[in-house]
Amino acid sequence: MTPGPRRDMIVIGASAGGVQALRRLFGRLPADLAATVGVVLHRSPFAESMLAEVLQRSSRLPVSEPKHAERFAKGKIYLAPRDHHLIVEDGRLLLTRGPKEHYTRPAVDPLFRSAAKSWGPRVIGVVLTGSGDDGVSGLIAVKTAGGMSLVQDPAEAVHDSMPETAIEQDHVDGILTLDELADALPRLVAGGSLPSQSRRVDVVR
Amino acid sequence: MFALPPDLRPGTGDQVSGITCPTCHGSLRVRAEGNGHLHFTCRVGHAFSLKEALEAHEQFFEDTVWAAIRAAEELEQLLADVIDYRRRGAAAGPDGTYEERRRRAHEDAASLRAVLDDDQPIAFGGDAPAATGGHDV
Repeated sequence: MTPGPRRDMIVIGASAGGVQALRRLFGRLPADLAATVGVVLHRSPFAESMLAEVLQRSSRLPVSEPKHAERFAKGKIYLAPRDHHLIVEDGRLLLTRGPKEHYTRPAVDPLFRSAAKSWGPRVIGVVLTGSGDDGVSGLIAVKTAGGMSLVQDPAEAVHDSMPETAIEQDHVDGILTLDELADALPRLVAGGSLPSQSRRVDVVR
Repeated sequence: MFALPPDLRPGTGDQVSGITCPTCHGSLRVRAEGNGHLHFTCRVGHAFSLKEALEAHEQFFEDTVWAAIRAAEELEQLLADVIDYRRRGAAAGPDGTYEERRRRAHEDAASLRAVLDDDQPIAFGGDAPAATGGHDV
């Protein structure tokens, strides 16, 4: 098999239903995943929470809320802290209190857009369960920059409107269940391609 | 005057729209992405989908009618209290037109309340809008 492009920057966005979905996904990702994983889960800007600790309990990969300007590494999961956008730059993660997008901060779009800008074809963007329209524009930016766009199968998502809207608004590369995503991501990172049975854009719902 | 630029379609890039940011009230630009997804952004970077912009305008319309109802009801109350105040002899002066104005303000408030009672804002299928929640934690 000819290796495809190197894809080692995974960005994931989720909203309502996201804790369960991320725990399921992280629980199945291998400990030697050779990619950086950035995650935005919509969360209250005002409430302290143990979200990173909760996700860590299900994950072999280390999960943390990075510090501003922290250098990122492969094999680690970085979670946007409350009230901050998570921005990917060359080698560093920035935390900003920039303008809310879709009334929320952290928001998925700034993470995806910044990853697309700095890492282009090396990005895999994944939109999971959630309500509302955050993530749609960001996923289009990932795809436009040569990256790969994936969404959780809306039939499986607790809240289907985020993945559903992403599918409606762009030609996403794959529609996968969480378990299929957990299988596909390490293969894509290693230069492989999507399993042929993964549902494609033309699914009519 | 337009709300959406007449030639808006994927590929035309950001253009000035005729509507303003629900959060900071600055001008909004709009572009069509992907299969036609509309993405609105203001000068400082607040960003909205079309659905969110529609919801915001629905909310602004209702809020604005409530503001008009408040104005009419405060006017009515103020006139009623002034009429009463003068009747108690606390102040001199004619108040002949005040009662007529008080009555009209009362009717105006009732008409405005009827506008909201009868109104049917646009409804979207699917989940609750992001603006009203959706937080997991």
